[in-house]
Amino acid sequence: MMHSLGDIEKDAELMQAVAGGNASASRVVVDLYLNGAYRLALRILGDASLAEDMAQEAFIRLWKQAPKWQPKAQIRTWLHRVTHNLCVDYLRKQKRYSDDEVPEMADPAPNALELKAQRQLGDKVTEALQKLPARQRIAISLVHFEECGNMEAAAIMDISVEALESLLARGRRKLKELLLPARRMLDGVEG
Amino acid sequence: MKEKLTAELERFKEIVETYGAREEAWPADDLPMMQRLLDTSDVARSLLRQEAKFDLLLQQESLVPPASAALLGRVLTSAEEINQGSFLKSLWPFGALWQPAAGMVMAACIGIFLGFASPDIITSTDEDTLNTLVFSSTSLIDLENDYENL
Repeated sequence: MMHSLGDIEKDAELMQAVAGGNASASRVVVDLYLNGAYRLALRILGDASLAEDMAQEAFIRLWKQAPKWQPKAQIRTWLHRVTHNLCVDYLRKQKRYSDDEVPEMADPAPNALELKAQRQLGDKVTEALQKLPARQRIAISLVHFEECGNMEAAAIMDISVEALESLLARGRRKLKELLLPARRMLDGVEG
Repeated sequence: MKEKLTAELERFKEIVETYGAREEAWPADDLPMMQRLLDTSDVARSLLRQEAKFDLLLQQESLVPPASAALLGRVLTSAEEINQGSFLKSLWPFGALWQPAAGMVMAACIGIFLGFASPDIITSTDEDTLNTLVFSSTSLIDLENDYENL
């Protein structure tokens, strides 16, 4: 998603109002961006309580930044970047930030009927996402779920567009493998 | 020509396998080529269909719940604590201060204007005339007579 200069200037005006203590402006920022920051943190960390802490911390940093805000970036991009950095720092401290995949549990590929009985399709997708290496999961969360453009997502992750594309391609490939039973089931339902 | 088509199809495949079937996500530089292939190539259309199906599956992700009301409250409170605005604002937190102030000034101005513009009901000359009339001897005798008649 590309953002115009107008969006950046509108955001700067909003932040100026926030810095002046305008409660309505703060409410607008929260309504527009809190869910996005929370969703991103939840997808990266897979834990609702931690995700809330990260989203709250990202907003505290945004409020502190308000008086110094420059019309150079969009609030959304800034918040996603801070949320991403907070989550990555947390994963690093937990030694969970690597390109290694989360080891799979002993889970023999169930057939379609078992799948239906065991879990909803949505849970399977969520679970598969959590099995991806952290960087692939973040790239997919940003581009597929938060609908960031490739340059915006690369800037948030502080990597090149080529590196982002590589993470996305590997992530999608891995997800296709992990979700093969679900895909078969979906094909069966459609067929 | 055929080589170019093959190379373009390779790039098309790479893009849809990376970004999925959502056109808005594709790199802007590749959009014209992607569109041309979609118009002319069955292979490209088939690749797109496969990825669209996978995108549909990803969309089945369990709904991520919105941020809780408690988080919303904490975030709004932190906004108030961190950016409190000017001292005047802390004294008058009910919006723009100029509105009630302007109202008061306007009311005062109207009061002063009316005070000056209203005609004088009692001038000093009128007061003398009234005094003469009320306290003249004739008037006092009349009053005494009235009293005796009661």
